[in-house]
Amino acid sequence: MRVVGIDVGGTFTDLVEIDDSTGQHRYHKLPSTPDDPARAFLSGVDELAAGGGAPDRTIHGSTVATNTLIQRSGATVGLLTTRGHRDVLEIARGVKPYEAIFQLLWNKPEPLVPRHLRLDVTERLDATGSVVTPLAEAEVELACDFFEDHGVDAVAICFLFAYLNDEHEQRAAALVAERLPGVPLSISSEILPQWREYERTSTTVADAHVKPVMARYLERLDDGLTEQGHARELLIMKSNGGVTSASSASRTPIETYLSGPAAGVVAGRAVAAAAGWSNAIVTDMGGTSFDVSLVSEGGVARCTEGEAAEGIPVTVSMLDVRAIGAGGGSIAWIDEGGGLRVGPQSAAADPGPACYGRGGDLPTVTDANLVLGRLAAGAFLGGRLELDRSLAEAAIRDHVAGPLGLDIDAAAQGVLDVTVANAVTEIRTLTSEQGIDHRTYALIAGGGAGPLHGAPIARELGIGTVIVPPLPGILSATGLVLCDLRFDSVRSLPGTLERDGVERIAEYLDQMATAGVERLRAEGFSGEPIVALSLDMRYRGQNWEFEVAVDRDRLDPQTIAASFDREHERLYRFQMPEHEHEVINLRVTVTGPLERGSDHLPRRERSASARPAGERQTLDDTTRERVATAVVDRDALGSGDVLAGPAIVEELDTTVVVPSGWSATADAYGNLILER
Amino acid sequence: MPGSCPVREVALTHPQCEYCGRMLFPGEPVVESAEGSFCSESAKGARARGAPPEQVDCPFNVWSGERSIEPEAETDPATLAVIDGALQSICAEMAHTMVRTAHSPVFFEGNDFTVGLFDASFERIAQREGLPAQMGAMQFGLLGALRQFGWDGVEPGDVILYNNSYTGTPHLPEFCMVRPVFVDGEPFCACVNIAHHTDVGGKAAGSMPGDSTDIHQEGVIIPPVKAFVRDEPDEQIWRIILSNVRGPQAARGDFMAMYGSLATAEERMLELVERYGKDELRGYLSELQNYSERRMRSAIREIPNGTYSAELLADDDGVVPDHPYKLAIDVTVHDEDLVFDFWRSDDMAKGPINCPFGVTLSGAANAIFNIVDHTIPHNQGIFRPIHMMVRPRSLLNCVYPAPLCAGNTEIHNLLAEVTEAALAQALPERTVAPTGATTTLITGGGAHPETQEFFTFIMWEPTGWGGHRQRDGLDAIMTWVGPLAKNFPSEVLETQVPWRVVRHALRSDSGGFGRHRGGVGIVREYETLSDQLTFNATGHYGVFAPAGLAGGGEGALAEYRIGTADGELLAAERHAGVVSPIKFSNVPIGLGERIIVRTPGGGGYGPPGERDPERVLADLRDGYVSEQTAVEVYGLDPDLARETVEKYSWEDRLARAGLR
Repeated sequence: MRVVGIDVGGTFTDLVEIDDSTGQHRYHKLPSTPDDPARAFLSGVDELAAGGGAPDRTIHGSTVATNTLIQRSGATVGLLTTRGHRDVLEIARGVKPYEAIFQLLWNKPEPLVPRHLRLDVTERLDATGSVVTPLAEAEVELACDFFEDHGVDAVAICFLFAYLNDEHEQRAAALVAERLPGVPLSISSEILPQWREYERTSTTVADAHVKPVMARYLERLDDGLTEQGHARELLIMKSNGGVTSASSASRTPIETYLSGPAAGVVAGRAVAAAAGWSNAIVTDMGGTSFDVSLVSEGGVARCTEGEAAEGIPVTVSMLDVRAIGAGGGSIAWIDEGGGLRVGPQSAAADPGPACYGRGGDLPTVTDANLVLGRLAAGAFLGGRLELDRSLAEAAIRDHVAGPLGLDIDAAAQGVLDVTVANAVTEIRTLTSEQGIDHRTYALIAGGGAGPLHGAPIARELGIGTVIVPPLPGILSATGLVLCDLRFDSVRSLPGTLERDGVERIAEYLDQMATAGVERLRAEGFSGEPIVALSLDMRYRGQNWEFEVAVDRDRLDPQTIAASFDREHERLYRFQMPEHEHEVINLRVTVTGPLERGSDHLPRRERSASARPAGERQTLDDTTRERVATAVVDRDALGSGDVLAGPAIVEELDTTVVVPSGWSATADAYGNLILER
Repeated sequence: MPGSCPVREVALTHPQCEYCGRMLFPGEPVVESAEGSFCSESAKGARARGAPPEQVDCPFNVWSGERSIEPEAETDPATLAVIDGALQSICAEMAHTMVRTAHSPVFFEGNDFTVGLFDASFERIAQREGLPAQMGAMQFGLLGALRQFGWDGVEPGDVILYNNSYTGTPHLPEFCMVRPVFVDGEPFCACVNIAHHTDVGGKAAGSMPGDSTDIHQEGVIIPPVKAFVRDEPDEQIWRIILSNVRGPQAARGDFMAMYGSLATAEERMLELVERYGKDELRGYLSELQNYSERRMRSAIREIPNGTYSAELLADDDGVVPDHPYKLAIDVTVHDEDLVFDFWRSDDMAKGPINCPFGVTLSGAANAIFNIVDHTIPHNQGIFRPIHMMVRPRSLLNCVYPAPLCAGNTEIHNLLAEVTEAALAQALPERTVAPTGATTTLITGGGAHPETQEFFTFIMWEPTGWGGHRQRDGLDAIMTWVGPLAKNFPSEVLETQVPWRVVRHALRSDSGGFGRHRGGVGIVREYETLSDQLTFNATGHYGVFAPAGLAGGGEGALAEYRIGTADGELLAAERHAGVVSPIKFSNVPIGLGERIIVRTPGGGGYGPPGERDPERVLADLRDGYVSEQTAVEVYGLDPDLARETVEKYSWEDRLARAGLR
């Protein structure tokens, strides 16, 4: 069985194919076509297939939802709300983002639905979900006419307390469907049956905004694959780390907004597991950004609150991936206090770093790596792009070394140290929120620029092991072929263990599990589903809950309360077992493992065409001195080969730096394991 | 000695410099004279009014000192960045613990707390504001706590707690908790947390009575005490504190959230010491402050030298009818130093709008921090070039027993406004027209009709900001005091309090008219489902509207109303003893009556006649202005206005269909 993962990014479209029968992998990279992402997707599949045949299953990581929201280029959405509450979407929570609290001239983002398209209709439920005022159906019908007059092409419905009782939303939806046939609908009680009306409204509206675009896009992919004769199975990656059918992704497209980065995490977890690590920090450093996520005890850290684009918060089940503006193209500069800073401004692909010779004269992280000899002028992107060392030096000299009174090497090393510091701060924020000691974790260095900085980042964090995966530059595409079908469901059932017991919890969890398995079956899954249950809990009176895994066979109040107390102590340094334990949401995850060969990862082995080893002068990260450094082609490394630092390992789209004091060992999968 | 009564231990006041008003630090060298004590800076005349500030050698370096702030040769810029990042992560983790474990919305929705790290000589190493209002008080908070015990009187694991506002906290609901940290038996640093609790007793639920006349009506006063001794809670102290607050269970949880955040911080600071060694780390912590100071000084150099003055009237104090109070500032910019001189402001008020020194510092600092580069780290360095002059025993530097609960929440905003107004003369591009700068706070409580449990609430709402030369003011954003303080979801409110939110909407026509209009405020209406509910208000801009700038119009006034069968009434029309439209306490609301809160709009910028007609049309389409305003104020063609309303107004469509 041939499985192809396709990650469509902003700059490149990456494809990875794994053949079950042989365990062999192939990969392909082509420029993305942002005006019509489907074009690069379809050409990529064609080009890859030309070398070996059509894929049996295509798994796609898409940025369509994210890009549509960032550009706000989706549907004109009409919103129906409870009477008196039409402005919830615009008033939002009335706050600035943290970064802006001392920015007087900050600009507030526009709401995704303008005020004249937010219509309130008479209806009301109370805080228990009982009907106070029935739905005024005539107002809904009038609203439909109003929407039609204004060219609305998707409708969102969000009524107060609909998470407790969806009767009014469903009735309104039926009226809209009747009056505006063919117009896609997003309903808050289906998308996010959870309290807090602003976040629910925002998520529902974002879903509606993306829906027609996603439907057209997936249709185009499906048609294209059929035309090309590759019509088999098309699956779409979701933010939660699982995949779903294209038709299901069209129904709730907001679930796909973190599609690409989520796949990178899945790959990172598999890489870590293959190398024998159940705890890992997964990083992916590309040209403009640095993504980080956590794998703990084999599970990926998850969250539910994110921001799909500026001013558009969404609450969906997702892997917790954080990003900062730190990549190869990040620009170094000196602030007015004489502080050396790097990013978040990026030279991007155009003009790119100074050494690209495309007119950029500002020093970037890539320039610093070139100056220090860690990148070779001729080996960048497999030699496809010749770098100009003198331009890099000039940029570092003029903008960093000169103003700080440093020599060029020290200045370039300073740029990298600050980049590393930025990455470390981001990682530390994530690990401290999760209450973990990162020193017991391995660091996965993914992305084109990741393996250049993996060892120094690990050093700063006190981490002793860095794992460089076989194809670090296409980590997300690799992750796609490793994903399983997955459905997450959530249901609010507020109550306390002490007063309400667990009977209803058990009953609801069973219902949710059954429904999840049915969805899997509906997608044609015939294997053995894996069901995981958890509760969002807190001490009564607290506001933030965290997820506590529960076992269906040990679903008693004492066991659950004790697990919660232990976790609270670990996270926050204290527990209050005498307080009542409150359960807020029930969560069920149903996973359908997709059939694939025993070997989950693309392997990498020694190749006869490898270039012979060489040597060049580099500035060593550990000793801070220029030393003769061995340069090895990654294709020359086979399982069990060991390199002692200082050494450089080069491959198509990345360079691995092994500082002195570190060693690099190639394992059976082709991972390079760097150890101190 | 048994039987002796240690009254002198009850220190409700704090020594301060008679000249600049600053609280004096323990052990700080002072000059004593017949007029009182003077800090070294003032004693040397370094801050003579109208004269340029001088550098003064002061071992405490509180605001200035003769020393080099240039980078030391051995300082590695990358290590500095790493340590700065580590300190930010520690503060972020402290804040995270607060939000995630808190029991009260005021913490977890309001972010109404500030956490920070200080070195052993009380200098700020790093700070993370949840609420900018607290930032100036953090150092005094620490000072007040350690003044009681001294470094000799504390041990690892001791946690000091108190809320006396005359010796350090911004107002009584805001408790200060301090955890001293030792390395090798020596004091190394202190972790500090100031956080606003829902209730601290006193005459009104929520402890924000708009008409208190002395501090004791505002709540219980807890002097600095060791609430934990070597990490064991002192149960006697907790029994006293929790017996004096409404909702002890939640309060206990909130105190534990503070404790957890400090325990976390100590652990992380000790990890840093382990990584770098205490001496090297100390060196970098000091260099970080110098780095901030260099950036702040460079930012001040961009402001033209001169003295800029502004005045603003505070509505009233909730006690004396129709009596406004004057806030006045003279900002002197001298090269790279700033003097914020509030000397000309009024005397102490009878009602609760007085400010302790730290609150005044926060207000002025908030304005300048919003104007300079926001990425300068908020450690001691950024404060050093700022020289405050706040007359002792005045409205802005009050002493026992002045009531002060609304100083921190309301006068803070006016202090930021008046400072911004003065700086606007020098920096018109970087400032905006006056903002409807109030939290429009309501607090209150009652017994729940079903459970009979006592409930308490505290709520604020976003407001309209002033227009700018280039663009309109922000609509519905929280004011200066708490730009991270989220409003409350109606779904959460109705679950916790017996009322129904019948309306939550933008307030049409509230933004000051202008070429760039002021932002609009909001309106929220609550219908009560209980006959036992009372409420209190501490708002502002209920008497004097936010002014327009350069020909722009005023923003709408803030309003509190009670919706009754007889229409909308002011609290004063309903309840004897209420003298202010905007500050009062314990006003009862009957079953089925409504509380109506309207927040003000921002002032407009430039004459409304100069507004781009397309923008007028867009405002009318979305109802930010009414048809009448569009025609009469902005001169829109009446037919076009009518046509626009018929096409875009949902209310108009409903009315024409006979549905509402």
